[in-house]
Amino acid sequence: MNITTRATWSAVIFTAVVSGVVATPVPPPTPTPIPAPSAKAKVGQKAPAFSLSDTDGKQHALKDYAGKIIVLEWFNADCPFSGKDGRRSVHATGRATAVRKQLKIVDPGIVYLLVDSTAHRKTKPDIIATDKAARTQWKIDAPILIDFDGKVGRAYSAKTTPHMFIIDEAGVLRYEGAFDDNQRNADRDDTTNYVLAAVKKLKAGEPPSPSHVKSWGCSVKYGL
Amino acid sequence: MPTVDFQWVGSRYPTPLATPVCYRGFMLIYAALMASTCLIAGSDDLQSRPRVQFEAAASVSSIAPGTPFDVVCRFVVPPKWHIYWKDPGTGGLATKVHVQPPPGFKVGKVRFPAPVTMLDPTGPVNALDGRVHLAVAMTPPTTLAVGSEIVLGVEAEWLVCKEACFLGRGEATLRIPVTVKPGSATAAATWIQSLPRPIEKRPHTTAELRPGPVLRISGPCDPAGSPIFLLESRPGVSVGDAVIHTKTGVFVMEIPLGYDSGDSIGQPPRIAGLVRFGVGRGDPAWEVDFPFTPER
Repeated sequence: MNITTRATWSAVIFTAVVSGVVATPVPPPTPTPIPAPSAKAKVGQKAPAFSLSDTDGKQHALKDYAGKIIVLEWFNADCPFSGKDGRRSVHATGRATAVRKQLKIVDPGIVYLLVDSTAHRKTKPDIIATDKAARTQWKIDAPILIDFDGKVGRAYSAKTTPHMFIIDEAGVLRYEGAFDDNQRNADRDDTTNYVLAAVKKLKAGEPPSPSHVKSWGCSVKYGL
Repeated sequence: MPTVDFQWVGSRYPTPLATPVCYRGFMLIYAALMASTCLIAGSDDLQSRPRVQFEAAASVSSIAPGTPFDVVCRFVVPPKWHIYWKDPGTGGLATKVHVQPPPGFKVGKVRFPAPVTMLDPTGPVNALDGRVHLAVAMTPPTTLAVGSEIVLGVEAEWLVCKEACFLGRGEATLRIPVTVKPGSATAAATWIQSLPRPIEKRPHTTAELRPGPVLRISGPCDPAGSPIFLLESRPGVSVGDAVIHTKTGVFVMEIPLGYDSGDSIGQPPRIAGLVRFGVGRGDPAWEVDFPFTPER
């Protein structure tokens, strides 16, 4: 309980006792601690706010999804670990689609957003066109948000594509890191998906464990 | 020996890292350099695939039953391009070597040279460039038949980057005769003489775990440069800022260790990395690799 809250309740109790309205005051409910907002994303703290438009021009703000679990996936259509064709691509191999389907089963209200902070040697229209094509090619049924100036990526310290972030219903960052444990071999069938595991934990009322696994993939191609 | 390069991926524009304290000023210089590079480099240059030469060789001309030897992998990386250390840093892909031995052979871990730590916009990157030599210690069984020949398959995978990046793969097959005593050292044996060795083998140097836990390393200074610690990241393991004292030619380095079992993905706590004296090519580097017990 912070000082302000304690002082407020002290005043309430004092007033009630003195006025004789309440002989034995009912203890206040324990307030849920609200983690301080963070300029840089940090697990256990409020996730940095953002507002970005997707490839169709629709605006998406973090606050629009308050009360829902949000999964952010950093994306690059030209990265063979992310949106490019190849055996290591989470999209080309269908691993991302499969996870989104499983997440929907675990939590039908879950929000899945891809974020593209690519700007290196490309124009914004290039990025939008490439991402639209990738979205169609890989049947990505989630919006791709364009973070051309890289502000959101830097606020989240997004390092690789893919790099995953999970925000809980209270807006607190609960997981950041790798998509799964299958960086090299797409043929493995014993893959652990950290995002799915974390969301299952959250839905069970438990903190994700692990809450951080070093992400892998291409480095995010920020502009300078 | 076939070598295949394909696809682009990974980090670009890495630049040698000076020191963390001058990060901001460094980034300004870095940005200016990159801006000029963008003006010079054409897109065709960015898309051309570099040819990384890969070959493998044994450290001896013949092997003897029960006597260890090394399989040495050599990568010749074109100028201005790089591949990655075992911990690539914030992006990229660790260079992988896999040796397929005959039955009964013991295969050791892959030994890497000290990397060049470079700065990408996403953070530090541990790169290897020029002629890169990796070694894998092999121990043949004592029952190996003298007069026979063993066949070893060696596979390697790497990511080579400059501005764009390309994945590459290489394969090699080694045929090595078996003799009563090991044959003479080959040229490959000299390639790996400068690979980092365990810190325990450094003269007059001690490395120990102390309560905290803290990894404490002490020993004589080296004229090549001040000691620094390069962490090889492990799941769940974190390190605090290393405290380094130097007095009368002796250094003491203390590294606070942290461990979060929830983030360990089942791996035990181990601290691994390099103690380096200077960051130049060929400067001394020593391997650190200790299990530790986190305090509760």
